[in-house]
Amino acid sequence: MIEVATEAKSLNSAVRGHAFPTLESGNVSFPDGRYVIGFEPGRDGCSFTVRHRVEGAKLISDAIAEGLAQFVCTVASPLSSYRISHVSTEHSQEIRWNNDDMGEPPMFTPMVVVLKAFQRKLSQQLHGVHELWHGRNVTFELGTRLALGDVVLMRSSILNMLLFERDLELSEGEFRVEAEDREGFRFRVHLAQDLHRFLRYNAADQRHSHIVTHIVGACFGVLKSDFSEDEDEEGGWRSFRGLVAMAEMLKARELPHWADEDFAPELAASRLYPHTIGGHPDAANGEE
Amino acid sequence: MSITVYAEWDEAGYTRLRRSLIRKSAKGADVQREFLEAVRDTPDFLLYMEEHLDLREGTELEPLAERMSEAEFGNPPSDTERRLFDAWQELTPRIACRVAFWGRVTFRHIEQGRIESTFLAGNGGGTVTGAQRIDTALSATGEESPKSMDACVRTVLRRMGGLPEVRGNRSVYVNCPLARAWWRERLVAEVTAGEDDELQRHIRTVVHPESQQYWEELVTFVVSRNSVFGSVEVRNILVRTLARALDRSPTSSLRRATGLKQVCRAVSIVQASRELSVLPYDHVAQLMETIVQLHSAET
Repeated sequence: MIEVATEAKSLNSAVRGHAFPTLESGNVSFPDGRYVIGFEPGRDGCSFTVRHRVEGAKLISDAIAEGLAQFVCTVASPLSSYRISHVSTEHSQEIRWNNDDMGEPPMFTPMVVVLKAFQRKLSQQLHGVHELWHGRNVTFELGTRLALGDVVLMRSSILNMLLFERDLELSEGEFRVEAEDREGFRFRVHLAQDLHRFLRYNAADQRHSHIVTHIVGACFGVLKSDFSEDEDEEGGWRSFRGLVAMAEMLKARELPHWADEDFAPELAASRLYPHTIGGHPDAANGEE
Repeated sequence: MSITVYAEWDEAGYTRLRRSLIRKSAKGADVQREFLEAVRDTPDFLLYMEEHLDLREGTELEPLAERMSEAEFGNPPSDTERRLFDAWQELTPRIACRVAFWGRVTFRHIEQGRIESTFLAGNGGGTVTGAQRIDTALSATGEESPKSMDACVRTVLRRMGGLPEVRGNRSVYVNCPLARAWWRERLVAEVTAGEDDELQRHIRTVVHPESQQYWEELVTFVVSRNSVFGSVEVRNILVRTLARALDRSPTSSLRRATGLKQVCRAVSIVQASRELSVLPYDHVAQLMETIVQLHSAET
Protein backbone atom coordinates (compact mmCIF):
# COMPACT_ATOMS: atom_id res chain seq x y z
CA MET A 1 0.00 0.00 0.00
CA ILE A 2 1.37 3.38 -1.04
CA GLU A 3 0.09 6.37 0.92
CA VAL A 4 -0.10 9.95 -0.24
CA ALA A 5 -1.10 12.60 2.31
CA THR A 6 -2.51 16.01 1.47
CA GLU A 7 -1.99 18.45 4.31
CA ALA A 8 -3.26 21.95 4.75
CA LYS A 9 0.16 23.08 5.95
CA SER A 10 2.01 21.90 2.84
CA LEU A 11 2.72 24.55 0.22
CA ASN A 12 1.11 24.55 -3.15
CA SER A 13 1.22 27.21 -5.81
CA ALA A 14 -2.35 26.46 -6.86
CA VAL A 15 -4.15 27.68 -3.76
CA ARG A 16 -7.57 29.02 -4.64
CA GLY A 17 -10.12 31.07 -2.82
CA HIS A 18 -13.47 29.39 -2.27
CA ALA A 19 -16.72 30.37 -0.63
CA PHE A 20 -16.44 27.24 1.52
CA PRO A 21 -13.64 25.53 3.48
CA THR A 22 -11.69 22.88 1.60
CA LEU A 23 -8.99 20.49 2.70
CA GLU A 24 -6.29 20.75 0.05
CA SER A 25 -2.57 21.50 -0.14
CA GLY A 26 -1.77 24.97 1.11
CA ASN A 27 -5.37 25.85 2.09
CA VAL A 28 -5.61 26.82 5.77
CA SER A 29 -9.34 26.12 6.07
CA PHE A 30 -8.66 22.98 8.12
CA PRO A 31 -5.40 23.76 9.99
CA ASP A 32 -4.99 20.21 11.36
CA GLY A 33 -6.55 18.47 8.42
CA ARG A 34 -4.97 15.53 6.62
CA TYR A 35 -6.41 13.68 3.64
CA VAL A 36 -4.54 10.42 3.35
CA ILE A 37 -4.90 8.23 0.28
CA GLY A 38 -3.68 4.65 0.15
CA PHE A 39 -3.15 3.05 -3.25
CA GLU A 40 -2.89 -0.69 -3.75
CA PRO A 41 -2.23 -1.65 -7.38
CA GLY A 42 -4.18 -4.64 -8.65
CA ARG A 43 -2.25 -7.56 -10.10
CA ASP A 44 -4.08 -7.24 -13.44
CA GLY A 45 -2.42 -3.92 -14.30
CA CYS A 46 -5.76 -2.19 -14.84
CA SER A 47 -7.16 -1.69 -11.36
CA PHE A 48 -6.39 0.00 -8.10
CA THR A 49 -7.83 -0.09 -4.63
CA VAL A 50 -7.98 3.42 -3.23
CA ARG A 51 -8.46 3.96 0.50
CA HIS A 52 -9.57 7.42 1.60
CA ARG A 53 -8.93 8.64 5.16
CA VAL A 54 -9.78 12.10 6.47
CA GLU A 55 -8.20 13.25 9.74
CA GLY A 56 -8.51 16.46 11.74
CA ALA A 57 -11.42 17.82 9.70
CA LYS A 58 -14.59 16.93 11.58
CA LEU A 59 -16.87 18.81 9.20
CA ILE A 60 -15.81 16.49 6.40
CA SER A 61 -15.86 13.32 8.49
CA ASP A 62 -19.38 14.16 9.68
CA ALA A 63 -20.61 14.94 6.17
CA ILE A 64 -19.37 11.51 5.03
CA ALA A 65 -20.93 9.76 8.03
CA GLU A 66 -24.26 11.51 7.44
CA GLY A 67 -24.29 10.51 3.77
CA LEU A 68 -24.01 14.11 2.58
CA ALA A 69 -20.62 13.62 0.95
CA GLN A 70 -18.99 10.72 -0.86
CA PHE A 71 -15.58 9.62 -2.03
CA VAL A 72 -14.64 10.26 -5.63
CA CYS A 73 -11.59 9.30 -7.61
CA THR A 74 -11.09 10.63 -11.11
CA VAL A 75 -9.03 8.53 -13.49
CA ALA A 76 -7.57 10.44 -16.39
CA SER A 77 -5.35 9.99 -19.40
CA PRO A 78 -5.35 13.42 -21.08
CA LEU A 79 -3.31 12.14 -24.02
CA SER A 80 -6.22 9.96 -25.11
CA SER A 81 -8.90 12.38 -23.80
CA TYR A 82 -10.07 9.99 -21.08
CA ARG A 83 -11.56 11.20 -17.81
CA ILE A 84 -13.97 9.19 -15.71
CA SER A 85 -15.03 9.86 -12.12
CA HIS A 86 -15.74 6.93 -9.81
CA VAL A 87 -18.01 7.54 -6.80
CA SER A 88 -18.11 5.47 -3.63
CA THR A 89 -19.81 5.56 -0.26
CA GLU A 90 -17.10 3.28 1.16
CA HIS A 91 -13.68 4.39 2.36
CA SER A 92 -12.16 1.63 0.28
CA GLN A 93 -12.89 1.95 -3.40
CA GLU A 94 -11.92 -0.38 -6.21
CA ILE A 95 -11.26 1.37 -9.49
CA ARG A 96 -10.94 -0.40 -12.82
CA TRP A 97 -10.17 0.88 -16.27
CA ASN A 98 -9.57 -0.45 -19.73
CA ASN A 99 -5.97 -0.12 -20.85
CA ASP A 100 -7.19 0.38 -24.43
CA ASP A 101 -8.50 3.79 -23.35
CA MET A 102 -5.22 4.93 -21.88
CA GLY A 103 -2.62 6.77 -23.91
CA GLU A 104 -0.31 6.95 -20.89
CA PRO A 105 -0.21 5.67 -17.30
CA PRO A 106 -3.41 6.94 -15.69
CA MET A 107 -3.54 9.89 -13.34
CA PHE A 108 -5.72 9.70 -10.22
CA THR A 109 -7.33 12.61 -8.42
CA PRO A 110 -9.00 11.63 -5.14
CA MET A 111 -11.54 13.88 -3.49
CA VAL A 112 -14.52 14.08 -1.14
CA VAL A 113 -17.54 15.66 -2.82
CA VAL A 114 -20.92 16.89 -1.55
CA LEU A 115 -23.73 14.88 -3.12
CA LYS A 116 -26.55 16.27 -0.96
CA ALA A 117 -26.49 20.01 -0.44
CA PHE A 118 -26.36 21.18 3.17
CA GLN A 119 -25.83 24.24 5.34
CA ARG A 120 -23.74 24.68 8.48
CA LYS A 121 -22.92 27.44 10.89
CA LEU A 122 -19.21 26.70 11.18
CA SER A 123 -17.45 26.31 14.48
CA GLN A 124 -13.71 26.11 15.06
CA GLN A 125 -14.16 23.57 17.86
CA LEU A 126 -16.94 21.44 16.41
CA HIS A 127 -15.82 21.32 12.78
CA GLY A 128 -12.04 21.76 12.90
CA VAL A 129 -12.11 24.81 10.63
CA HIS A 130 -9.77 27.80 10.85
CA GLU A 131 -10.96 30.71 12.97
CA LEU A 132 -11.50 32.68 9.75
CA TRP A 133 -14.53 30.48 9.14
CA HIS A 134 -15.74 30.47 12.74
CA GLY A 135 -19.34 31.62 13.08
CA ARG A 136 -19.99 31.82 9.35
CA ASN A 137 -23.05 30.32 7.75
CA VAL A 138 -21.97 28.35 4.71
CA THR A 139 -24.00 26.53 2.07
CA PHE A 140 -22.34 23.45 0.61
CA GLU A 141 -23.79 23.01 -2.81
CA LEU A 142 -24.02 19.84 -4.83
CA GLY A 143 -20.59 19.03 -6.25
CA THR A 144 -18.60 21.04 -3.70
CA ARG A 145 -15.17 19.50 -3.14
CA LEU A 146 -14.67 19.23 0.63
CA ALA A 147 -11.27 17.57 0.25
CA LEU A 148 -9.02 17.42 -2.78
CA GLY A 149 -5.97 15.18 -2.87
CA ASP A 150 -2.87 15.69 -4.94
CA VAL A 151 -2.86 14.15 -8.42
CA VAL A 152 -1.15 10.77 -8.35
CA LEU A 153 0.51 9.42 -11.46
CA MET A 154 0.68 5.65 -11.73
CA ARG A 155 4.42 5.40 -12.26
CA SER A 156 5.39 3.90 -8.96
CA SER A 157 5.46 0.38 -10.34
CA ILE A 158 8.97 -0.46 -11.45
CA LEU A 159 7.55 -1.77 -14.73
CA ASN A 160 6.49 1.77 -15.56
CA MET A 161 10.08 2.91 -15.12
CA LEU A 162 11.51 0.54 -17.70
CA LEU A 163 12.45 1.98 -21.05
CA PHE A 164 13.18 -0.84 -23.50
CA GLU A 165 15.69 -0.01 -26.19
CA ARG A 166 17.15 -2.18 -28.92
CA ASP A 167 20.96 -2.30 -28.80
CA LEU A 168 22.57 -3.71 -31.91
CA GLU A 169 25.90 -4.06 -30.13
CA LEU A 170 24.52 -6.77 -27.89
CA SER A 171 24.57 -10.38 -28.99
CA GLU A 172 21.48 -12.61 -29.02
CA GLY A 173 19.84 -12.98 -25.63
CA GLU A 174 21.92 -10.28 -23.92
CA PHE A 175 20.72 -7.26 -22.00
CA ARG A 176 22.05 -4.62 -19.63
CA VAL A 177 20.39 -1.86 -17.60
CA GLU A 178 21.44 1.62 -16.64
CA ALA A 179 19.80 4.27 -14.49
CA GLU A 180 18.68 7.44 -16.19
CA ASP A 181 17.81 10.40 -13.99
CA ARG A 182 17.66 13.40 -16.28
CA GLU A 183 13.87 13.76 -16.50
CA GLY A 184 12.44 11.80 -13.61
CA PHE A 185 13.92 8.41 -12.88
CA ARG A 186 13.90 5.54 -15.36
CA PHE A 187 15.86 2.44 -16.20
CA ARG A 188 17.09 2.27 -19.75
CA VAL A 189 17.08 -1.42 -20.64
CA HIS A 190 19.41 -2.18 -23.55
CA LEU A 191 18.23 -5.33 -25.28
CA ALA A 192 19.65 -7.50 -28.02
CA GLN A 193 17.44 -7.45 -31.10
CA ASP A 194 15.84 -10.84 -30.44
CA LEU A 195 15.01 -10.01 -26.83
CA HIS A 196 13.66 -6.60 -27.81
CA ARG A 197 11.32 -8.14 -30.33
CA PHE A 198 10.27 -10.92 -27.98
CA LEU A 199 9.38 -8.58 -25.11
CA ARG A 200 7.32 -6.33 -27.38
CA TYR A 201 5.18 -8.96 -28.99
CA ASN A 202 4.99 -11.91 -26.65
CA ALA A 203 3.53 -10.59 -23.43
CA ALA A 204 1.38 -13.70 -23.06
CA ASP A 205 4.34 -16.07 -23.32
CA GLN A 206 5.42 -17.33 -19.89
CA ARG A 207 9.08 -16.73 -20.72
CA HIS A 208 8.18 -13.05 -20.95
CA SER A 209 7.48 -12.82 -17.21
CA HIS A 210 10.70 -14.70 -16.33
CA ILE A 211 12.75 -12.26 -18.40
CA VAL A 212 10.98 -9.29 -16.83
CA THR A 213 11.70 -10.65 -13.35
CA HIS A 214 15.36 -10.98 -14.34
CA ILE A 215 15.42 -7.39 -15.67
CA VAL A 216 13.73 -6.04 -12.53
CA GLY A 217 16.35 -7.87 -10.43
CA ALA A 218 19.10 -6.21 -12.46
CA CYS A 219 17.43 -2.79 -11.94
CA PHE A 220 17.31 -3.34 -8.20
CA GLY A 221 20.99 -4.30 -8.43
CA VAL A 222 21.75 -0.92 -10.00
CA LEU A 223 19.85 0.83 -7.22
CA LYS A 224 21.79 -1.12 -4.61
CA SER A 225 25.20 -0.36 -6.11
CA ASP A 226 24.64 3.24 -7.18
CA PHE A 227 21.88 4.69 -5.03
CA SER A 228 22.28 3.15 -1.59
CA GLU A 229 24.47 5.79 0.03
CA ASP A 230 23.27 9.11 -1.21
CA GLU A 231 19.70 9.26 -0.02
CA ASP A 232 20.03 12.63 1.74
CA GLU A 233 22.03 14.39 -0.92
CA GLU A 234 20.50 16.48 -3.65
CA GLY A 235 20.03 14.24 -6.67
CA GLY A 236 19.92 11.21 -4.37
CA TRP A 237 17.15 8.66 -4.69
CA ARG A 238 14.81 10.56 -2.41
CA SER A 239 14.69 13.35 -5.00
CA PHE A 240 12.73 11.03 -7.28
CA ARG A 241 9.08 10.59 -6.41
CA GLY A 242 8.87 7.28 -8.25
CA LEU A 243 11.73 5.80 -6.22
CA VAL A 244 10.27 7.06 -2.94
CA ALA A 245 6.96 5.41 -3.84
CA MET A 246 8.77 2.22 -4.81
CA ALA A 247 10.67 2.13 -1.51
CA GLU A 248 7.34 2.46 0.28
CA MET A 249 5.85 -0.30 -1.81
CA LEU A 250 8.74 -2.63 -0.91
CA LYS A 251 8.24 -1.75 2.74
CA ALA A 252 4.56 -2.61 2.41
CA ARG A 253 5.59 -6.02 1.05
CA GLU A 254 7.85 -6.40 4.10
CA LEU A 255 11.00 -6.08 2.05
CA PRO A 256 14.01 -3.87 2.75
CA HIS A 257 14.98 -1.34 0.08
CA TRP A 258 18.27 -0.58 -1.66
CA ALA A 259 19.60 1.66 1.13
CA ASP A 260 19.20 -1.18 3.66
CA GLU A 261 22.10 -3.53 4.26
CA ASP A 262 20.07 -6.70 3.87
CA PHE A 263 18.49 -5.71 0.54
CA ALA A 264 18.62 -8.62 -1.89
CA PRO A 265 17.77 -7.47 -5.45
CA GLU A 266 16.81 -10.96 -6.64
CA LEU A 267 14.47 -11.52 -3.69
CA ALA A 268 12.75 -8.15 -4.17
CA ALA A 269 12.28 -8.83 -7.89
CA SER A 270 10.94 -12.34 -7.41
CA ARG A 271 8.69 -11.24 -4.52
CA LEU A 272 7.08 -8.60 -6.73
CA TYR A 273 7.07 -10.76 -9.86
CA PRO A 274 7.38 -14.39 -8.75
CA HIS A 275 8.51 -17.05 -11.20
CA THR A 276 5.54 -19.33 -11.73
CA ILE A 277 6.33 -22.68 -13.27
CA GLY A 278 3.90 -24.28 -15.72
CA GLY A 279 1.23 -21.78 -14.84
CA HIS A 280 0.69 -23.25 -11.37
CA PRO A 281 2.81 -22.45 -8.32
CA ASP A 282 2.72 -26.10 -7.11
CA ALA A 283 4.19 -27.32 -10.38
CA ALA A 284 7.63 -26.33 -9.14
CA ASN A 285 7.33 -29.01 -6.48
CA GLY A 286 6.21 -31.65 -8.93
CA GLU A 287 2.71 -31.68 -7.45
CA GLU A 288 0.77 -30.68 -10.54
CA MET B 1 -9.16 -11.56 -25.64
CA SER B 2 -6.39 -10.92 -28.11
CA ILE B 3 -4.98 -7.43 -28.44
CA THR B 4 -4.08 -6.21 -31.90
CA VAL B 5 -0.60 -4.79 -32.07
CA TYR B 6 -0.54 -2.25 -34.90
CA ALA B 7 2.53 -1.48 -36.95
CA GLU B 8 4.02 1.91 -36.26
CA TRP B 9 7.35 3.67 -36.60
CA ASP B 10 9.82 2.95 -33.86
CA GLU B 11 8.80 5.70 -31.45
CA ALA B 12 12.28 6.67 -30.25
CA GLY B 13 13.65 6.79 -33.80
CA TYR B 14 10.71 8.79 -35.11
CA THR B 15 11.02 11.30 -32.27
CA ARG B 16 14.76 11.62 -32.96
CA LEU B 17 14.08 12.23 -36.66
CA ARG B 18 11.53 14.97 -35.93
CA ARG B 19 13.84 16.63 -33.43
CA SER B 20 16.80 16.52 -35.81
CA LEU B 21 14.72 18.20 -38.50
CA ILE B 22 13.38 21.06 -36.40
CA ARG B 23 16.36 21.93 -34.22
CA LYS B 24 17.72 25.45 -34.60
CA SER B 25 20.89 24.37 -36.38
CA ALA B 26 18.82 22.47 -38.97
CA LYS B 27 16.97 25.60 -40.12
CA GLY B 28 17.76 25.91 -43.82
CA ALA B 29 20.60 23.41 -43.50
CA ASP B 30 21.32 20.33 -45.64
CA VAL B 31 19.33 18.07 -43.35
CA GLN B 32 16.13 20.01 -44.11
CA ARG B 33 16.99 20.36 -47.81
CA GLU B 34 17.56 16.61 -48.12
CA PHE B 35 14.25 15.90 -46.39
CA LEU B 36 12.25 18.30 -48.56
CA GLU B 37 13.86 16.99 -51.74
CA ALA B 38 12.71 13.53 -50.70
CA VAL B 39 9.17 14.71 -49.93
CA ARG B 40 9.04 16.32 -53.40
CA ASP B 41 9.12 12.92 -55.03
CA THR B 42 7.03 10.05 -53.67
CA PRO B 43 9.48 7.16 -54.39
CA ASP B 44 12.32 9.18 -52.81
CA PHE B 45 10.18 9.91 -49.80
CA LEU B 46 9.38 6.23 -49.27
CA LEU B 47 13.06 5.41 -49.48
CA TYR B 48 14.03 8.23 -47.12
CA MET B 49 11.59 7.13 -44.45
CA GLU B 50 12.55 3.48 -44.68
CA GLU B 51 16.23 4.36 -44.48
CA HIS B 52 15.80 6.62 -41.48
CA LEU B 53 13.21 4.73 -39.45
CA ASP B 54 12.75 1.27 -38.04
CA LEU B 55 9.34 -0.32 -38.06
CA ARG B 56 7.69 -1.65 -34.94
CA GLU B 57 6.08 -4.62 -36.55
CA GLY B 58 2.43 -5.45 -36.20
CA THR B 59 -0.82 -5.38 -38.14
CA GLU B 60 -0.79 -2.63 -40.74
CA LEU B 61 -3.90 -0.49 -40.70
CA GLU B 62 -5.56 -0.89 -44.08
CA PRO B 63 -5.42 2.42 -46.02
CA LEU B 64 -8.63 3.87 -47.41
CA ALA B 65 -9.67 2.20 -50.65
CA GLU B 66 -9.96 5.35 -52.75
CA ARG B 67 -7.31 7.77 -53.87
CA MET B 68 -7.67 11.22 -52.29
CA SER B 69 -7.15 14.58 -53.93
CA GLU B 70 -4.82 17.05 -52.27
CA ALA B 71 -7.74 19.19 -51.11
CA GLU B 72 -9.62 16.16 -49.77
CA PHE B 73 -6.59 14.97 -47.83
CA GLY B 74 -5.83 18.39 -46.36
CA ASN B 75 -9.36 19.06 -45.27
CA PRO B 76 -11.51 15.94 -45.64
CA PRO B 77 -15.23 16.60 -46.05
CA SER B 78 -17.46 15.30 -43.33
CA ASP B 79 -18.57 12.22 -45.29
CA THR B 80 -14.94 11.23 -45.96
CA GLU B 81 -14.21 11.51 -42.24
CA ARG B 82 -17.22 9.31 -41.50
CA ARG B 83 -16.07 6.73 -44.03
CA LEU B 84 -12.61 6.77 -42.55
CA PHE B 85 -13.87 6.30 -39.00
CA ASP B 86 -16.20 3.50 -40.06
CA ALA B 87 -13.30 1.72 -41.73
CA TRP B 88 -11.05 2.11 -38.69
CA GLN B 89 -13.56 1.64 -35.91
CA GLU B 90 -11.50 -1.08 -34.31
CA LEU B 91 -8.79 1.38 -33.33
CA THR B 92 -8.64 2.25 -29.65
CA PRO B 93 -7.76 5.63 -28.10
CA ARG B 94 -4.55 4.08 -26.75
CA ILE B 95 -3.35 3.62 -30.34
CA ALA B 96 -5.07 6.62 -31.91
CA CYS B 97 -3.23 9.14 -29.75
CA ARG B 98 0.17 7.91 -30.97
CA VAL B 99 2.19 10.08 -33.33
CA ALA B 100 4.34 7.12 -34.41
CA PHE B 101 1.19 5.19 -35.38
CA TRP B 102 -0.35 7.94 -37.53
CA GLY B 103 3.04 8.67 -39.07
CA ARG B 104 3.08 5.09 -40.28
CA VAL B 105 -0.56 5.20 -41.45
CA THR B 106 0.11 8.32 -43.51
CA PHE B 107 3.23 6.70 -44.94
CA ARG B 108 1.17 3.66 -45.96
CA HIS B 109 -1.34 5.89 -47.75
CA ILE B 110 1.55 7.33 -49.75
CA GLU B 111 3.06 3.90 -50.34
CA GLN B 112 -0.28 2.52 -51.59
CA GLY B 113 -0.80 5.48 -53.92
CA ARG B 114 -3.79 6.95 -52.04
CA ILE B 115 -2.01 10.30 -51.62
CA GLU B 116 1.22 11.88 -52.85
CA SER B 117 4.00 12.76 -50.45
CA THR B 118 3.86 16.39 -51.61
CA PHE B 119 0.34 16.65 -50.12
CA LEU B 120 2.03 16.74 -46.74
CA ALA B 121 3.53 20.14 -47.51
CA GLY B 122 0.19 21.76 -48.36
CA ASN B 123 -0.79 24.38 -45.87
CA GLY B 124 -4.55 24.35 -45.52
CA GLY B 125 -6.70 26.19 -48.04
CA GLY B 126 -5.48 28.47 -50.80
CA THR B 127 -4.39 27.66 -54.28
CA VAL B 128 -0.72 26.83 -53.62
CA THR B 129 -0.11 23.09 -53.70
CA GLY B 130 2.32 21.24 -51.46
CA ALA B 131 4.65 20.64 -54.41
CA GLN B 132 4.69 24.35 -55.17
CA ARG B 133 5.43 25.18 -51.55
CA ILE B 134 8.38 22.78 -51.54
CA ASP B 135 9.69 24.20 -54.81
CA THR B 136 9.43 27.74 -53.47
CA ALA B 137 11.21 26.76 -50.26
CA LEU B 138 14.01 24.94 -52.06
CA SER B 139 14.60 27.72 -54.55
CA ALA B 140 14.38 30.61 -52.10
CA THR B 141 17.52 32.63 -51.61
CA GLY B 142 18.85 34.99 -48.98
CA GLU B 143 17.23 35.43 -45.60
CA GLU B 144 13.93 33.90 -46.74
CA SER B 145 15.45 30.55 -47.59
CA PRO B 146 15.98 29.04 -44.11
CA LYS B 147 12.65 30.40 -42.91
CA SER B 148 10.58 28.96 -45.72
CA MET B 149 12.42 25.61 -45.64
CA ASP B 150 11.84 25.34 -41.91
CA ALA B 151 8.15 26.22 -42.23
CA CYS B 152 7.72 23.64 -44.97
CA VAL B 153 9.47 20.88 -42.99
CA ARG B 154 7.30 21.57 -39.98
CA THR B 155 4.14 21.41 -42.06
CA VAL B 156 5.15 18.02 -43.44
CA LEU B 157 5.89 16.64 -39.96
CA ARG B 158 2.65 18.05 -38.55
CA ARG B 159 0.55 16.50 -41.28
CA MET B 160 2.33 13.18 -41.23
CA GLY B 161 1.43 12.31 -37.63
CA GLY B 162 1.64 15.46 -35.54
CA LEU B 163 4.48 17.50 -34.11
CA PRO B 164 4.14 17.31 -30.32
CA GLU B 165 7.58 18.85 -29.78
CA VAL B 166 6.16 22.17 -30.97
CA ARG B 167 2.40 21.88 -30.63
CA GLY B 168 2.03 19.64 -27.59
CA ASN B 169 -0.21 16.63 -27.14
CA ARG B 170 -3.05 18.15 -29.13
CA SER B 171 -0.95 18.04 -32.31
CA VAL B 172 -2.06 14.55 -33.28
CA TYR B 173 -5.72 15.59 -32.89
CA VAL B 174 -5.48 18.80 -34.88
CA ASN B 175 -2.60 18.61 -37.39
CA CYS B 176 -2.62 15.12 -38.88
CA PRO B 177 -5.67 15.02 -41.21
CA LEU B 178 -6.21 11.25 -40.87
CA ALA B 179 -5.96 11.30 -37.08
CA ARG B 180 -8.09 14.41 -36.85
CA ALA B 181 -10.83 12.75 -38.87
CA TRP B 182 -10.79 9.70 -36.62
CA TRP B 183 -10.95 11.72 -33.41
CA ARG B 184 -13.70 13.98 -34.70
CA GLU B 185 -15.93 11.09 -35.64
CA ARG B 186 -15.14 9.30 -32.40
CA LEU B 187 -16.32 12.37 -30.56
CA VAL B 188 -19.54 12.33 -32.61
CA ALA B 189 -20.02 8.65 -31.73
CA GLU B 190 -19.36 9.26 -28.03
CA VAL B 191 -21.59 12.30 -27.76
CA THR B 192 -24.53 10.81 -29.64
CA ALA B 193 -24.12 7.29 -28.22
CA GLY B 194 -25.92 5.74 -31.18
CA GLU B 195 -28.81 8.21 -31.18
CA ASP B 196 -30.57 9.47 -34.29
CA ASP B 197 -29.01 10.87 -37.44
CA GLU B 198 -30.38 14.33 -36.82
CA LEU B 199 -28.51 14.63 -33.56
CA GLN B 200 -25.36 13.40 -35.29
CA ARG B 201 -25.79 16.08 -37.91
CA HIS B 202 -26.08 18.77 -35.22
CA ILE B 203 -23.04 17.45 -33.38
CA ARG B 204 -20.99 17.54 -36.58
CA THR B 205 -21.54 21.29 -36.83
CA VAL B 206 -19.57 21.52 -33.59
CA VAL B 207 -16.85 18.92 -34.13
CA HIS B 208 -16.45 19.48 -37.86
CA PRO B 209 -16.49 23.26 -37.98
CA GLU B 210 -15.56 25.43 -40.90
CA SER B 211 -12.65 26.86 -38.96
CA GLN B 212 -9.65 24.80 -37.89
CA GLN B 213 -9.20 27.19 -34.97
CA TYR B 214 -12.60 26.16 -33.59
CA TRP B 215 -11.62 22.50 -33.53
CA GLU B 216 -8.29 23.42 -31.93
CA GLU B 217 -10.06 25.31 -29.15
CA LEU B 218 -12.32 22.35 -28.49
CA VAL B 219 -9.40 19.93 -28.42
CA THR B 220 -7.41 22.17 -26.10
CA PHE B 221 -10.17 21.91 -23.54
CA VAL B 222 -10.58 18.20 -24.03
CA VAL B 223 -6.99 16.98 -24.23
CA SER B 224 -5.01 19.46 -22.20
CA ARG B 225 -3.38 18.07 -19.07
CA ASN B 226 -4.81 21.04 -17.20
CA SER B 227 -8.25 20.60 -18.67
CA VAL B 228 -10.87 21.33 -16.10
CA PHE B 229 -13.54 19.24 -17.78
CA GLY B 230 -14.01 16.73 -15.04
CA SER B 231 -15.13 13.92 -17.23
CA VAL B 232 -16.14 12.65 -20.61
CA GLU B 233 -19.81 13.05 -19.63
CA VAL B 234 -19.43 16.76 -18.90
CA ARG B 235 -17.70 17.26 -22.24
CA ASN B 236 -20.44 15.34 -24.04
CA ILE B 237 -23.22 17.37 -22.45
CA LEU B 238 -21.46 20.61 -23.40
CA VAL B 239 -21.05 19.52 -27.03
CA ARG B 240 -24.73 18.48 -27.20
CA THR B 241 -25.84 21.81 -25.75
CA LEU B 242 -23.64 23.73 -28.18
CA ALA B 243 -24.97 21.70 -31.10
CA ARG B 244 -28.58 22.42 -30.17
CA ALA B 245 -27.81 26.13 -29.74
CA LEU B 246 -26.15 26.30 -33.17
CA ASP B 247 -29.09 24.51 -34.73
CA ARG B 248 -31.51 27.02 -33.19
CA SER B 249 -29.49 30.03 -34.29
CA PRO B 250 -27.04 29.32 -37.09
CA THR B 251 -25.61 32.84 -36.95
CA SER B 252 -24.83 32.68 -33.23
CA SER B 253 -21.50 34.00 -32.00
CA LEU B 254 -20.92 30.50 -30.64
CA ARG B 255 -20.04 29.41 -34.16
CA ARG B 256 -16.79 31.32 -33.83
CA ALA B 257 -13.75 30.09 -31.93
CA THR B 258 -13.85 33.10 -29.60
CA GLY B 259 -17.45 32.25 -28.67
CA LEU B 260 -16.51 28.66 -27.91
CA LYS B 261 -13.57 29.83 -25.83
CA GLN B 262 -15.83 32.00 -23.69
CA VAL B 263 -18.20 29.12 -23.04
CA CYS B 264 -15.37 26.75 -22.16
CA ARG B 265 -13.89 29.28 -19.77
CA ALA B 266 -17.24 29.76 -18.09
CA VAL B 267 -17.55 25.98 -17.62
CA SER B 268 -13.99 25.93 -16.25
CA ILE B 269 -14.84 28.53 -13.63
CA VAL B 270 -17.77 26.47 -12.33
CA GLN B 271 -15.77 23.24 -12.46
CA ALA B 272 -12.94 24.87 -10.49
CA SER B 273 -15.07 24.91 -7.37
CA ARG B 274 -17.60 22.16 -8.06
CA GLU B 275 -17.05 18.66 -9.36
CA LEU B 276 -19.51 18.55 -12.24
CA SER B 277 -18.68 15.01 -13.26
CA VAL B 278 -20.58 13.44 -10.36
CA LEU B 279 -23.72 15.54 -10.66
CA PRO B 280 -26.96 14.21 -12.19
CA TYR B 281 -27.24 14.55 -15.97
CA ASP B 282 -30.17 16.98 -15.82
CA HIS B 283 -28.36 19.22 -13.38
CA VAL B 284 -25.27 19.52 -15.61
CA ALA B 285 -27.41 19.89 -18.74
CA GLN B 286 -29.32 22.78 -17.15
CA LEU B 287 -26.05 24.43 -16.14
CA MET B 288 -24.60 24.09 -19.65
CA GLU B 289 -27.79 25.49 -21.18
CA THR B 290 -27.53 28.55 -18.93
CA ILE B 291 -23.86 29.10 -19.78
CA VAL B 292 -24.40 28.63 -23.51
CA GLN B 293 -27.37 31.02 -23.56
CA LEU B 294 -25.42 33.57 -21.58
CA HIS B 295 -22.60 33.63 -24.11
CA SER B 296 -24.67 33.34 -27.23
CA ALA B 297 -25.28 36.46 -29.26
CA GLU B 298 -26.70 36.91 -32.75
CA THR B 299 -24.21 38.24 -35.24
